[in-house]
Amino acid sequence: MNMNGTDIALKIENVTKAFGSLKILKGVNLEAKKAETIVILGRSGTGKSVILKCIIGLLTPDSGKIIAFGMDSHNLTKEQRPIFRKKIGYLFQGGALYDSMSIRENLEFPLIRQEDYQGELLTDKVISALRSVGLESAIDKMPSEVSGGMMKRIALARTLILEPEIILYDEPTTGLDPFTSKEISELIIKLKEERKVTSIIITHDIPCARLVADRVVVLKDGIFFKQGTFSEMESSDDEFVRGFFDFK
Amino acid sequence: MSKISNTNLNVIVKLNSAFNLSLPVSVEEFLEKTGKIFLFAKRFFTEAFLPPFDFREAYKQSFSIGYKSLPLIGITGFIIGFTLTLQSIPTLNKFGAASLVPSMVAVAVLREIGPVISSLIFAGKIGSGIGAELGSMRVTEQIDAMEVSGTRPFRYLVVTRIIASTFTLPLLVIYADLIALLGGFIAVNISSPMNLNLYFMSAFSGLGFMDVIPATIKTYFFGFAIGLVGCNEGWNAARGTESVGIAANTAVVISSLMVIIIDMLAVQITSLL
Ligand SMILES: Nc1ncnc2c1ncn2[C@@H]1O[C@H](COP(=O)(O)OP(=O)(O)OP(=O)(O)O)[C@@H](O)[C@H]1O
Ligand SMILES: [Mg+2]
Repeated sequence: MNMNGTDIALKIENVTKAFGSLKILKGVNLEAKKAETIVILGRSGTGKSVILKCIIGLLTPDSGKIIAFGMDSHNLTKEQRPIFRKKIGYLFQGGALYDSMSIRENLEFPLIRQEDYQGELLTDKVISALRSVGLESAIDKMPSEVSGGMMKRIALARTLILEPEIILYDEPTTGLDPFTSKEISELIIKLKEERKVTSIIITHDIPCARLVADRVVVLKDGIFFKQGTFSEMESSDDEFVRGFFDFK
Repeated sequence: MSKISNTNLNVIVKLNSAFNLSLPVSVEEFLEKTGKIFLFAKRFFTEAFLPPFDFREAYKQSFSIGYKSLPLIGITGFIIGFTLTLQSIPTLNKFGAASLVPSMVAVAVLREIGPVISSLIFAGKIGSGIGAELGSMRVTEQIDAMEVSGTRPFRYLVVTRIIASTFTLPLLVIYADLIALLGGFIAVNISSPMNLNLYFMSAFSGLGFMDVIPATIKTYFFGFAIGLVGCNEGWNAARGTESVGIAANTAVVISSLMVIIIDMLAVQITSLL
């Protein structure tokens, strides 16, 4: 879907959000082009997850607009809602696997309930999604039987299985070893190249950000106060921004 | 937490912290909570009658709810029938009415004790189970994950559980009643032997439709209330892991109270008929 001839996939305009008297977001603006990968940096507890939840519609902004595919995320019609939900994927910070279901059922669940997949086609989709995160062997395990890092990757497979056009990643590589983390980064790049997926990624994993980011934005005091390419940000003259990059 | 007005009931504040509950502590909070339950019920009725239906999941929930409750409700039923009979025999003997024991026990069990005690046990076991299960799904964002993948979690999780508890509890009550009568039979046989046929004939001789039908109808309301309250507490659990325990405990307290209140209303209504 094309917005006025431009190729903007997602537009966030002046979004504010407060919980009680605690103002978390104070006017967030962001435009993501189709197939662009944007990395969000910011200190813990400053509202990064809140931004993603506002985009996907789990939280309602107090003011401002979020538009994706020409649809206003908080004024969806009955017909738009399922389309919107299908086009945007969300990887939860904690994975959020359904713990009463096996890994297979976790992945089948959205397919059966949203698209009426059945039989062999269903199994093929599940296996290929698990293969993309390197975890085919876990298919018949329960979430309680796999490690934290594996849960995260399975959750990613469950997000990918609906083939969303925009994917919101909340710390996709946290808790993973450097090798697996690199594989996930490469998967993100592959999705961008092969399927033109637009990605918004929250991460503290600088090697991952270096690999995937077309643009890095920094959240501070409720706004995106600096943005630029990875190397621009890495050599920023702002001390706070540089703080994310050097560990010495 | 919300501000505590002059109307607060100190006892409830203490109960809340001692037993990990979230009972309303002021009149405002009580009204707010009541309003929320009604809205939740309204959402249940609007979503329950719109296709697509989750028949399989509702069936699965009914089976698991029923199966889980069988042993506990069975044992309780037996003990109720057994002790009630043992205790009635001496009294009725005094009036020379020992032969009325089976029918007296049957009336007491089928009309009142069976449905109410079974439902209270059901509230403790199933109400809290539903509260804890949905509460932990809420806290670990599993419900949000269902929401964003467009899988209609309210129908899948809530509608199916409320339907399951509404239709399973009446069956469990019938089962408890029968076991209670068997318990009564054994108790009768301790003092003077009586054969099973005769026992059941004399038990049912005193029973009319008006004893059985209203008692059965009210158990549907009990089941509905327990499912509704358990789901409401779990679905609306707050953030943080302690909310899971709070949801489970609050579900038990409120649904047990609802059972007693509905029972009181049901008795008033049947006495008018
Ligand atoms: N649903 C909510 N209700 C109340 N407060 C909330 C809610 N969601 C988030 N908050 C608060 O908003 C603030 C930002 O939370 P958020 O989860 O976005 O942080 P974050 O930047 O993702 O941090 P982290 O890197 O630790 O995940 C926190 O203070 C949090 O307590
Ligand atoms: Mg976060």
